[in-house]
Amino acid sequence: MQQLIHNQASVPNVASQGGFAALQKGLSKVIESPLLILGLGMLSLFTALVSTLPVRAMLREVLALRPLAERIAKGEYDVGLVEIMNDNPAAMAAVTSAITVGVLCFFLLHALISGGILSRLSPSSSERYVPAGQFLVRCAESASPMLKLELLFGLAVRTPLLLLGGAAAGFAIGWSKAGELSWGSLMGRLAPVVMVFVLAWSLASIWLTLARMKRLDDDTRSAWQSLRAGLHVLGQRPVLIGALLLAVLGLIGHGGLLVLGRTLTVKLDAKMLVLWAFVIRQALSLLRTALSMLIIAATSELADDR
Amino acid sequence: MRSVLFTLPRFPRRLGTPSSRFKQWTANAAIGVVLGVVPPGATTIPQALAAPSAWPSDTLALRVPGPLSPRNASYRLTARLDEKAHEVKGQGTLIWRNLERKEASELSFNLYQNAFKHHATTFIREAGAQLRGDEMPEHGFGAIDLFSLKIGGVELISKAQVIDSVLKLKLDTPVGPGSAIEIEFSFTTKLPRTFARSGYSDDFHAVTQWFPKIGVFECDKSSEHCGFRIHQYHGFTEFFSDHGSYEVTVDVPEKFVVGATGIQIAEQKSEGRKKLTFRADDVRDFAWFADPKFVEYKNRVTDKLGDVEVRVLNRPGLGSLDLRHLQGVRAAIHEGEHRYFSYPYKNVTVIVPPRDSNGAGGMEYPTLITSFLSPMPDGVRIIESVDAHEFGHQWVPMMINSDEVEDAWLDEGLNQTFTGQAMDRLFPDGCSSIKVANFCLGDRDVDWMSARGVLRRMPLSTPSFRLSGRTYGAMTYAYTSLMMRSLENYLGPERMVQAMRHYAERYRFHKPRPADFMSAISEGAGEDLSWFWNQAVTTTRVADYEILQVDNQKHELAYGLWDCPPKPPMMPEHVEGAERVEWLRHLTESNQAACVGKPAGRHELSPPTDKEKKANAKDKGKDKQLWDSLVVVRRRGELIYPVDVVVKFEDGSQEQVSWSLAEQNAHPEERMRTVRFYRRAALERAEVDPQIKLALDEKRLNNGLLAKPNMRPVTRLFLTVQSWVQTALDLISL
Repeated sequence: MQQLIHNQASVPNVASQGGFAALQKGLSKVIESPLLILGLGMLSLFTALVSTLPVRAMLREVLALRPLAERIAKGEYDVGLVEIMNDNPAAMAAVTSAITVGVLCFFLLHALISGGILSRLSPSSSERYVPAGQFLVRCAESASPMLKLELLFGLAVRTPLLLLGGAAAGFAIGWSKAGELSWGSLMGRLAPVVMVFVLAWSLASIWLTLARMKRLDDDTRSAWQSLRAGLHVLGQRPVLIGALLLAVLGLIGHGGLLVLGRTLTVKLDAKMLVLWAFVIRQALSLLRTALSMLIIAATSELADDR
Repeated sequence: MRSVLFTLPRFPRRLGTPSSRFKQWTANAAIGVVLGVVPPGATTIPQALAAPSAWPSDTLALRVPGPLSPRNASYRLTARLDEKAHEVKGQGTLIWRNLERKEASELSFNLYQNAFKHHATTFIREAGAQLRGDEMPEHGFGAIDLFSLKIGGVELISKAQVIDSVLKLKLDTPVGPGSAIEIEFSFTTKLPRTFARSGYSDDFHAVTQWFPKIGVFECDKSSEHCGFRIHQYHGFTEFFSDHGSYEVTVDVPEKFVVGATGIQIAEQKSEGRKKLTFRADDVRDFAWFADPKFVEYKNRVTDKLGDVEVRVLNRPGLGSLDLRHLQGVRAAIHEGEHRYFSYPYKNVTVIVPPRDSNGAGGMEYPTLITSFLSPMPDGVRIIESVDAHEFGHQWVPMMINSDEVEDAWLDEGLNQTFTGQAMDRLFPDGCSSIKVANFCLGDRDVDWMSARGVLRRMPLSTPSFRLSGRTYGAMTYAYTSLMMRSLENYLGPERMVQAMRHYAERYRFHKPRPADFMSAISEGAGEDLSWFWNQAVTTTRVADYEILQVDNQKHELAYGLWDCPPKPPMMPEHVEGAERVEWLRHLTESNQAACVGKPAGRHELSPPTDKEKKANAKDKGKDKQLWDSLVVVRRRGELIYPVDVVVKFEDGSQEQVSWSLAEQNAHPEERMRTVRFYRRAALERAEVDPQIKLALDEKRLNNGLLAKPNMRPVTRLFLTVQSWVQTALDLISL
């Protein structure tokens, strides 16, 4: 991959205007890319459908001719699910394996195309930007370094963050004294830790986006150097403030979509309105994809070198 | 050596020998049984057993006139807690009366704490150094040392033989029928670190099974073989003892809060310590708990006898859960009084052990229960469930005194059923176990999940202490619960309550065995239930009914050669019942159809041509189609139980067919039954036992079968799983 742009230490223009300006520009970028949203949405739908097909086969075999299936599906007879799982251990193992493989494949695929997505969502003035026709080419060009970066990030940032989060949760509830607490006080102690953890996780994702940008901007950078360069940009005050804003947005947005999804679909499922529940879930999935893209685009706007 | 202190004449009017009020009181109480005033099987304890006036606080701990039991093993104990060494130094007096008609030539005592003495005790070898997942902490051994054992002032400790957790003492002079003896003893109990019911952690002390407790002396029905029914402290089973009265003084540091069996009748403070005296009557054990960190909450539950005082000794910071404890106890009191009889005691204490003494939780003692800490949301109804369960034990086995070591299902199993009923009373939403978000699980479902894992292992009649850990729990608790629910569904709720009350009345403050229980339930229900007991209790037969086949075929006449005019059809002799009726109808209608407009003679009835079919379809319309439908129900398991088969047709109509007990017992090896229908609507589904009356049914999904696959629920469930995965994939990019 050719070197796209030289690293410059100047403070980004948009960053100096604040996170809201970046968000605004990112939003218009996302709106301009409906095919990308649709494509990514379809990718997750397709992966989820394929990896869960064994579930359908198993359920068909076990439930299609059983009157109790209706009650199980309506949520009136949850213990029926336990009977299915207990009596079909091999099928359950197959289903779990298929889902695990599906999720891993998607994770790898997502890492492989992340360079293309980032380039596509970059400001059109940026040399990193590629038109729609060049999307797949960019994906192919950047696949290997993006994957390396993703793996390094997982090892160097995500894993320690998880360990730190676990330790913080343990500290908050007093380790072995957790059992002495009521549910209310347990949740009260854990809530701030969880909030901070999720925020840190989102911030880390923004860091990863910045590192990807740096790697795309300079293909001589190693994964480690890209991580450091990304951190350097994130450490600049205006970028950090903007990134925090984006992290909060991501946290609220994704959390809200999860709650909304559950609220809407529970009643539809209970009434067996299968098609409506599916349509709503897909709409929410597209919104989730758009939100993730918005954060990537805004990050790109926020920290892009000019 | 004279071991018998005082011997009563066979039918004495009053006691003369014992000098103390205690002796007089307990002996008088016991005498009623010797006199035959309280025959085993009496429905009530006669007032002739009323305690002598010399004991002023005779019914102090009761809400009804006493005594209620023979009180043949009564104790006066003093105990001093060394909170640093976690030891209890105690001494006591036991007045024990031989209730049998044969003499007792030896005495046997339980020394339960010796179960924790080392790793080669019966308890540890059976359970491992753990119980219910709580492991024995390092250096957590416990033991009881008996220093003195006197009868009639004569020291006999050197003659006693201690085997593991049982002490045996041969008597030079046997204790005659109806005679009472006074035994004095002193001991030190070193408490183990808590993992199995008793023990300590930090300042928390669970002082249970802490003193030498005499076993139960009994003879078989012929009175030929007599002896103490006493067991080692086994790994999973619990305890068994006689009823008596207890007066116990505990000496603890002043800052300690104490919860104990019975009611407190005195308190003395001096030099930073306090002595609390408790009284309990007609109880079979005495336990106490001490901890300076206990936070007290008091309330009351009102029933038709008045108020029961409920005292919760909770952990600091958990006051918000007090009401949940109260709710559990309240539900159990009301359910127990509905199913057994009135709770006669004045109070109950609920102890909440600290987390590191979890092993002391979930236990029952007379008028005292221990609960669990639960860092769970309110929807996980474990607090109410545990409290209701442990309180239910106040009836079984605390008052209906079954042997927990040999017949644990008579207490744990019946009480598990009771717990579900009490929880259903408290949470009528059917989610008595868990209701979190939209997930709902009832006690019955939890029992079913547990029991189906241990079917085909051992019959319930196996002595409980012979069952290994997992089998013990699931068989004794869950299987029995499902068995009793199956029986209740057979009898109906009213007859079941009537039967249980009959059993409870007959055996309260007596010692029923399984045969007594089964016959009492049959009597109470007014029906011989041996068909049920002989399968569910004494065998490993498994219950499972299924719909094997559901089939629809368009009805057609019997094509072929027919003689006209039609004659009454002749049927093969082997065909019986509904099939014979259906076959006759088929013969008749086919013969009639073949002869329409035909002269006498033989004519062939042929299938309609395609043209005729089309014409018929237009003429008759779709709703005229006749269907021959078939349902095959199969008894997949070995246990026989009357079941209903409900069939639904596509026009919404339904029909119910019974497969009775008599029909199944007539040909027990015939495991299938075929039911045919001839209708203008095709069969949509068939379900055997759709209400799951047979709670023991191993598999429930196979109880029903559809004629055609219904993919809607499959799609609904599949898409839910798919959406979970898709959401996870979407969030990977976070």
